[in-house]
Amino acid sequence: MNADSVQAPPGMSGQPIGKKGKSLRSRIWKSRYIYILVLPTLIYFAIFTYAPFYGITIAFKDFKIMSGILDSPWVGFKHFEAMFTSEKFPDLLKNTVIISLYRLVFGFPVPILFALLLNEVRSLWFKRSIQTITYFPHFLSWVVFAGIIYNFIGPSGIINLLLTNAGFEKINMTTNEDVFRTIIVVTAILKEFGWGAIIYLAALAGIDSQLYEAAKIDGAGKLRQIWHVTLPGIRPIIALLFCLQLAGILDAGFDQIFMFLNPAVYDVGDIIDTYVYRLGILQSQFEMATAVGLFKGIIGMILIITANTIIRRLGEKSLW
Amino acid sequence: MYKGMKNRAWKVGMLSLVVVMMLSAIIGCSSNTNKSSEGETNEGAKSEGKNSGALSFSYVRPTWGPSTYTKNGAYEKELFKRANVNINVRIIPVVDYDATIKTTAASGDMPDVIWGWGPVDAFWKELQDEGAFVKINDYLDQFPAVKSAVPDGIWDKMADDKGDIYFIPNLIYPVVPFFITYRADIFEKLNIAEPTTIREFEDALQKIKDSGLGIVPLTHGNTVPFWAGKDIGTSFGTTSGWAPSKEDPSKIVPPEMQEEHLNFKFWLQDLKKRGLFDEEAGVNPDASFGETKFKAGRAAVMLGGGLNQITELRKSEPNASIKIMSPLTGLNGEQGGTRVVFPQDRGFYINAKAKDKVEQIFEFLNWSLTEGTEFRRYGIEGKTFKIDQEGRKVPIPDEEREADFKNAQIEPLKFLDPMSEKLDWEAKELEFIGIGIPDQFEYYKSMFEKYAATPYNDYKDPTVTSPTNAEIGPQIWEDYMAKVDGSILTDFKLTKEGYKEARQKWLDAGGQKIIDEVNELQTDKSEPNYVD
Repeated sequence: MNADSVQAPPGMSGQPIGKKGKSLRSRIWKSRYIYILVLPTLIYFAIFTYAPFYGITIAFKDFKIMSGILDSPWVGFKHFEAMFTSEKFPDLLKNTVIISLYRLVFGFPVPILFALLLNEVRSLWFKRSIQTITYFPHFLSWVVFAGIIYNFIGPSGIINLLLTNAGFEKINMTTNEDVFRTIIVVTAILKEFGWGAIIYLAALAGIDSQLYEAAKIDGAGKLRQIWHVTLPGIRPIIALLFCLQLAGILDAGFDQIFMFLNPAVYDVGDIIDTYVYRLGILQSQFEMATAVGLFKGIIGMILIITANTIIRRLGEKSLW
Repeated sequence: MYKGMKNRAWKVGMLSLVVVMMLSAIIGCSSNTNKSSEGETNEGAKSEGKNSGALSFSYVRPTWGPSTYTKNGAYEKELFKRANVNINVRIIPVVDYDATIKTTAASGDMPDVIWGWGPVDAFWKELQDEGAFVKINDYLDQFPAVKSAVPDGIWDKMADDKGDIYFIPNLIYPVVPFFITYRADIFEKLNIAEPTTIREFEDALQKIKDSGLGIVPLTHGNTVPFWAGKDIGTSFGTTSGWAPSKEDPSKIVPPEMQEEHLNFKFWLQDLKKRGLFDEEAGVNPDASFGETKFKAGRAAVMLGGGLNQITELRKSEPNASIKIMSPLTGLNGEQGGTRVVFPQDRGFYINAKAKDKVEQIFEFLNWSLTEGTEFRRYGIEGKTFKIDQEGRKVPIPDEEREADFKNAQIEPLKFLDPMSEKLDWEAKELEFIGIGIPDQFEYYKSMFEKYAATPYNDYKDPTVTSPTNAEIGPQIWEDYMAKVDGSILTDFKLTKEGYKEARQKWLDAGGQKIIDEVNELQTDKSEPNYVD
């Protein structure tokens, strides 16, 4: 088999589709079924993703429910000022970024390592069993999962029960600032690493087995094969997911932190989203909640563009 | 030819796929629940083939009991038949209610009848002022049973400065003692006399801890710890509400400004530090953990308990007995009692969009307070109550009822109960008979009266709202006070001095202005009397 015997599909060869000079209209007509197929998706995004952008104006208004968004009076950047001048804002931003970075540093490599390990397992039933067990926590909500964790780490939980029965002092794990972030990162990893490995397993399945055979012939052992074949094979996916995760750095995981948060650990665990929930939703200050959402969106956009540019310059496959 | 067929098959396949996707999108996007529109609820009635011509309206309310309500239960059908209504109910557990309903209200998609806090809450007051709800003054005149269900003094509080009323309050009796209940059998076993003072109370807890029984000396009932302890707090002189300032008795100040209140809170912190108060207090996200422990025989004393826990407790401890401590005398001789509450806990509005149904809704409320009274209060014979030998209607305990007649099926369909039924000793006695502890009734009543004898009132008029509080109150509370006020029980390093430092920042950021505005707006600062 040589390169000429496999023809690239239209559009993938770098050549323009269709004959030169063919009008856009006729090209659309020719592919009308494909366009119709795409239409529901476009409508979906238009209605549920782009139309709500209109609501962003609440961030600049004194929102009156009965007047509606359109007729509520404009107040400029008042809500942004209130947020940025808040005594707590620097701490909230710091906590959000630190927890996100911890997740990135400690949480991001775990699914990759797990996928690499699982990829080496030859016993199918064992592989399937491990996959099922590790995927399962992903399908539990944080309310349920946090309840399970609380039964382990609570003051009367299993861990403290074991410690006291063994003659040790109890450890405060639920209202202790020193361990809060560790618990957040560890429980997040426990819940999601199995699910997160799926995409890497799919990428691993796509690596040409001939490359491994060639590496073996060249005398590479298991670790060398992983280093020189497997990891480069999934590098584009790693870069892509890293890029996406970086964009969400101001999303430190509301559901999870909300379940574990307690006023005693506000100094290390209160993030932008939990603060906004208490102030914006519970105290019905919707304008401030929207302003913070917009701020997060802008930071996320800047980060994703930056990360994408860096990845592209490094020669990896980028988002666009 | 084969190629042509293949092409056609491909096109037909694609087209079918597109049609399926479009249909899915249309069906998925079309709403089928929780619309306040008449059409939707009528449709529900038609589809059930029942109550044609009945009043249909949508209704959302919080529930305090289990959230296991299912539509079309036998109780619901009976109510709909008797009252000729068809109510599309949506329930929200009370802990989630405020957050959920405010977002729902903000979306403009409110049901016909909606529960809220009424004019005592800035959010609801603003909506009311913006015209979101129906003014009900004329209907109150038209339906006297509804009007007389609520005392005139409460209606006056619900009225705005023009005298217009929009809100129907859910009434509660202002005296709700949160008893200090204890395991009398354990006290007897350990030779502990019933404490009468705070000091004796501490000693009793210490003895229980040292006894080696391995049970929690003190826990709290199904709410936040300090509120569960509101009545033991009175032994420290705190009202757990606004009270006259010690420095200037002509002014009232919020609880966080009162030394007595801080003494109480930090006393509980001290008990917890010493292992006398439940280590899970303020930590366990499930507020009912203390009650569960007490019922399972794993706690000796509970703040905010009742005698009805005995039936559950005796399942695990057949010889257990529960008693109520008399209000305790404080460290400085303060006489304990009960913290009295404003006799309203939420209530409901009628959506302005449902103005065509208002008269019928009032007819229904009127029915429930006149000819429907028996059904509203007692339900159905043999299902929710039984007649005893003396001809009295004795409620059937919830666990003995059929699924369709359990409280979880009835609570979502509750609307207005008159004040006259809020402290009905006859009904209370029947409750005790129903759960099998009739001999405890007189004891309960005597303890109720002991607590009620020394009332502690919140001096603030709940309808007075500081404009500064409405604008920046929540934010400055979150910024300066939320951490210290919320972590007294969980942060043992927090001291009263640390608390006061945070409080000073809060005062400087606008807290003092809020206090001043309340004092300016509330001209009558005398102690309220909600009981008489």
